[in-house]
Amino acid sequence: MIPILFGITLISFAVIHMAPGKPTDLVTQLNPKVSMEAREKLNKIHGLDKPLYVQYLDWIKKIGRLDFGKSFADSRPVIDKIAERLPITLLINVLSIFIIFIVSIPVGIKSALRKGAPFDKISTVAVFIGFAIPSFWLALLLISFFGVHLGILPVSGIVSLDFEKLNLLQKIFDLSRHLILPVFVLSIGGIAGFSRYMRQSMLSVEHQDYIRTARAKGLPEKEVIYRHALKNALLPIITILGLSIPALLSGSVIVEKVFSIPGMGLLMFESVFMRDYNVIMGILIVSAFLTLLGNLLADIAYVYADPRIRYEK
Amino acid sequence: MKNKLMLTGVIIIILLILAAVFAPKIAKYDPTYINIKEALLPPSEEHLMGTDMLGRDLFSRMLFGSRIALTIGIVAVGLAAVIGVALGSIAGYFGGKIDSVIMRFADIMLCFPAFFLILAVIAVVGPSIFNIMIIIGLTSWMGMARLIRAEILTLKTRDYVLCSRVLGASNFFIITKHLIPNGIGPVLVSFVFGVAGAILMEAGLSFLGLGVQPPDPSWGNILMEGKAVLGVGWWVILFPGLAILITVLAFNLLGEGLRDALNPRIK
Amino acid sequence: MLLKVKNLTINFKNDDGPVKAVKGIDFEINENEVLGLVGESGSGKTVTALSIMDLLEKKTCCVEGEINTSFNRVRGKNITMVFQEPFTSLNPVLRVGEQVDEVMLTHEKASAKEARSHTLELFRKVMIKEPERVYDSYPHALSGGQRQRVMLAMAISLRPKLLIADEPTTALDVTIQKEILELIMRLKEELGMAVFFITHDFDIIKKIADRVLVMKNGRIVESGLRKSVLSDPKNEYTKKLIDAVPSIGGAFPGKGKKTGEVVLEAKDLTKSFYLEKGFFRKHSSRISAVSEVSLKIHEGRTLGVVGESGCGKTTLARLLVGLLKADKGEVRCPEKNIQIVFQDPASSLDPRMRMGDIVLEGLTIRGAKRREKELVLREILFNARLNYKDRMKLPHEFSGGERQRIAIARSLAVKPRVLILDEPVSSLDVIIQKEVLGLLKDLQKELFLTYVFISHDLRVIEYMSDDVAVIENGRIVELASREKLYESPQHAYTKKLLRSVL
Repeated sequence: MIPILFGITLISFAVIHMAPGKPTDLVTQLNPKVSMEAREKLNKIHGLDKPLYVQYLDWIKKIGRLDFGKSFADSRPVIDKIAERLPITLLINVLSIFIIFIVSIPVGIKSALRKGAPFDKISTVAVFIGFAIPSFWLALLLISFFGVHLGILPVSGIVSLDFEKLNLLQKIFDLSRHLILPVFVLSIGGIAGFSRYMRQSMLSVEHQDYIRTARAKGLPEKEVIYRHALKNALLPIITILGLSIPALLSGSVIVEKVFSIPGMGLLMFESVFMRDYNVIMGILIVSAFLTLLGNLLADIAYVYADPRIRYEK
Repeated sequence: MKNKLMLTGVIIIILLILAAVFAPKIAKYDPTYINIKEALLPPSEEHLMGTDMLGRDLFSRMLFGSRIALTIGIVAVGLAAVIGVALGSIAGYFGGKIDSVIMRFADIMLCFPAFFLILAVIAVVGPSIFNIMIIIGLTSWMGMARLIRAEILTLKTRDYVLCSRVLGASNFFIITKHLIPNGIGPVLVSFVFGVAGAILMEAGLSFLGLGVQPPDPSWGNILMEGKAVLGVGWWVILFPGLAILITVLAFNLLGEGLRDALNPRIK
Repeated sequence: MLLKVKNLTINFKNDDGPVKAVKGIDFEINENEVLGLVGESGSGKTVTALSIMDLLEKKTCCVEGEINTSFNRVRGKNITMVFQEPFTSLNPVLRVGEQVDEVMLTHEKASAKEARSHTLELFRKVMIKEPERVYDSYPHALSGGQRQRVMLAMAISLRPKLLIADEPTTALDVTIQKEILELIMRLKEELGMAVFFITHDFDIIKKIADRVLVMKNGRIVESGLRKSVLSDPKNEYTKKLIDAVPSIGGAFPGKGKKTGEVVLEAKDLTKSFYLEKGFFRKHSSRISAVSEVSLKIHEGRTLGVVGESGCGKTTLARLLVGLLKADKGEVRCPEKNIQIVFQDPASSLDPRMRMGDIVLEGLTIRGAKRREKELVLREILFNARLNYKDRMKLPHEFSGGERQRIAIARSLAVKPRVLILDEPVSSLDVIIQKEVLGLLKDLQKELFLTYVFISHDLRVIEYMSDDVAVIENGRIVELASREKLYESPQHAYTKKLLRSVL
């Protein structure tokens, strides 16, 4: 665990220092009036005159205190900028995971049980398309259809302008209306992927000896499926959920950009455009920590779900 | 039915490759030729897919876009495959400390959401076709490394490998004669899926304006420009999106087919 | 008459058209009898049993013919089944007790409490020690023998009329095998049920069956009372099967002298393994696989090494050929030319290599010239009773016995003096087993080879060995000449093993 945290910071640091020249060059280059002296002064302020490893150590000490430095763009502390954006990103990601689960698991089970039936064929085609459809394109199509053509759903932002004036129920309604399209777009790839995994997992479990034992006992088919097969089929899904968190987070950059949602993804996009290195590093580390956290949760869930591992304790 | 799907995938990929190779022969117009007078013309005989907001012929831009998509997809994943197979085989075969170091490195890389990492590198080195290829390659080898490592871990305990060792075979002989031929299958499958992923990634980056830069035509940046004319020029949005969808679909179909062919147990 | 099968035909729908697994068989099972069904793998035994249980998937196969019973055929209640693989037959994520409870809950609509006490009662009946603890365990915490007892408890839960036992002891160690067989016979007497016992092993039939069916390629080729089938088989195939069964007392002396040159010697061999750290486990634990094993083998002789699964015999084999390095002790082999043949011919041949290349691999590694290889190939294939014409075929195109002969040929191609045979016939059907053992014997005489023959099967060991080493928990507990060991075993463990041979 510790080496991974360490590695994450090391790679983030390395990425930013890959560039020829110094981060401050950008600020100073734009302004030819800045003298060599001033440039060096600036370097000194940011500690850029020291050897790399010293810079790294200084930086990592700061990170330990959650101090990611200040944004080049508006001089606000990076951690504040991330903190105000993160909840929004988490909200759409958690909703999305929820949607993925409640859609893909039943779909996967049903297509596995009726392998080759019309439902399976249709869902397979849908899965392939869902897998291949570019999310930004889907977003544009949905915006032009629901937002522009029908005009029934908002296409940007997370709340309406008059949000503050609304009562709680109206607030929830307003927020939900704004979230429908982005969460749908963010979920589509996951729904496709998880339905497929669930189907595959169910199919492979169906041929296990213990399923035959359950049938030999004379259990009704429903119990065989839901008591014996499903539990085993869900096990690998837990692991895959842990592994798919980075993909979901990746997806939020595009979704937040297209729907102008002020989350961490959009912040990343803006910072990359402005080469706001401190913010970029901060987001990189926060996103990696989130992934790590997700993996940890999945591991713990797995330990509780699978008695074979639980016994190792 | 599975075979038919795979065949469809293969045919589409071949057509795409032909389109990419012969793009200059097929295209009637220079993809970067601006003609404001002909801006936003709907599809017609003259302009099969219409024109964009600068009056460039969309069909020509799409053709040249396929070159960029395929090149980036194949080169980037090729790079990833070389890195992944090399590191994964070393880790799997030698085990011990080398294995922990390599795989721990892969674990760390996997903690970064790919898109965030790629964006961060782009922020530093700047977007260009070459950079995009290299960056995608350098950030997507981990899956393949894990795959080949897992294969090698099981293969190296197979009795035929043990026999080979008893017969006096060198590590090199065992790796090249037994392990790689028997273990490369999943990597091949992953390569094909990877190309699909890289094409999507490039399109996404270009759509954000952080990938292939105009005036070079990429399906992603055509879409980005199309966003500005949403509602007036449906064709500027429809065609590049469809192209990405169909290309990714084709590679996924091929990958799925290959996987089934290599793994006859799952039917 | 309890059950009558009339003209049962089973076809599997395959990609390349239908495959006939069972081709019109008729038989009956009477009340309170043990009907044995013997056949080699792929003869259609299991499929027959599954069709009686109505467990075949309708999608993939088509069952014709009649199966009539004198009772109401309710699966799990009055007709039950025990399967071969105890390790995969229980659901890994449910507690063992719950899985047994299900029978009561489903068929008797009992309360959870009733089911539990009934299950504990059953556990006592099948002689499970600490029934309460086992009730709350998950399957992976139990040994193979315990799991098979749990399966039996499940099967006898509601006093079935008929118990189908499909190779219930094949996956178990010999000593456990005997206990389970005795348990099945006792339960049969107590509960007054009929047992339909499926096996590949005539020795088991000898011990338990009242009547016997012999099955081959989906047909019943012989049936009758046990005595008459065993003493006077009518069918050629039955005769062959019975002849092929190795039995104690069928030794085959080798030519090697006890005074011959020592070609392989091990001194104080010791090897331990470290279990990998688990998710929540900081410290790794050490398991000693082989401890202080010393042995000496003279040219042209066979040393049998016998022990149950997990006793360290495979580790010993790997130490002897140098695949593993000993922690302590050494292996001395003057000519450094030892080869090994493994148990599973399916895994010991590279699936992508042609037969000729496999056999010649050792020579290729040594950089032999093409002409030399060609000569060796012809000679070796002839010795191993393989056809030179098949040299371009891939492993999957050969039968199990042929594959094992290919593996043997590969080892012999580099002209070793010592051959380690690690369970070389354990995964083969008896008739093939006998052929391969015969081939090994012949090769030993022709090429004056020295063998270390490792097996769990005392009968095969006796057939092959001049001297026998008995291993328990990584140690040699007894090492003696074959005659001595089989006639007057000294160590308690050897005696126990010998008793468990039927």
